[in-house]
Amino acid sequence: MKQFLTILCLSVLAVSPVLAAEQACKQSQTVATVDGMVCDFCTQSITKVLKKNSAVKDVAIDLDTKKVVVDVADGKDFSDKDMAKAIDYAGYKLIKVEHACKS
Amino acid sequence: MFSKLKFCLLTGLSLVITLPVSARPLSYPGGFMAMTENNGEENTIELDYTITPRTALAYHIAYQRDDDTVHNAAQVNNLIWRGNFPDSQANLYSKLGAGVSTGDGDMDSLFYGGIMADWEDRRFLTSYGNEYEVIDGEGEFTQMARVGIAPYIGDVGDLHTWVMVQADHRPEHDDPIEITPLVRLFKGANLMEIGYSTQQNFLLNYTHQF
Repeated sequence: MKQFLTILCLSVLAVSPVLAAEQACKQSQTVATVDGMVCDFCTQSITKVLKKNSAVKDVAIDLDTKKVVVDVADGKDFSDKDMAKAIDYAGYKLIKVEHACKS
Repeated sequence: MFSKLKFCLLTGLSLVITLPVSARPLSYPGGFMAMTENNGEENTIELDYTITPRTALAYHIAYQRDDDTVHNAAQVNNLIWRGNFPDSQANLYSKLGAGVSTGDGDMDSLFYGGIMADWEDRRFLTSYGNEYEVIDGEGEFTQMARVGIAPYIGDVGDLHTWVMVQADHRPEHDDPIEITPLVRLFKGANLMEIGYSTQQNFLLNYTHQF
């Protein structure tokens, strides 16, 4: 019995940070690093193309870091392929895609 | 001889620094762009609709001051090549147009074509463009080059300012070279340029991307 309780406690302790992190993730984000963005027309083009996808809730672009951050709508799927397709369609070069969580 | 030399020098320089024109003639698929360019030579209005990542269709209207004619033309803009680099972008475009030139009771056929190229990062910009226009069988070549610098680098949505110099070369004209220092103000979807040339002509350009 003692052994069982010890294993149970350890299991709870091991899983709790994961659960906490999931609870803290209020907004799932897809982050692309993009080459060729030099002005506001570029950011507008990329934003407008991305927003044609219903899974895209919001877009933020930082020209200094060359990052395009997409807030993904709740319950929707926005794949790396979707991101690659949109960036290419807008006329820019995708370098990499990462995933993040806005708490 | 001197003007021929000047022509060669300017052409060579233009090709080396590559590029012309106030705004790129292509935006994003499904996007519209409205442009007006006003200078000592002409007043123009152009509406572009980008149909694919590489092609835009445009309707171009121009009032030519020197011969008091109006040009109406349909135009196709093509992105021949784009270089997307970590901190800069370079483009090579072509344009082809066909329409009519009207004035003084006459209506003549109008055809034109040209190449445009540009390179810019967030601090420097250079561009070159040329055009060969044929009206009623008579051709005229013109070209233009620009260099510009941004005195400060703003974030997305800020007011961006560029200081530029534009050189126009019109070999058929008595005074074939016109130099125009200008200021570009760029905020969001709006781009405006104001300048005053060595031939004492004002320049006022405006572009809006929808």
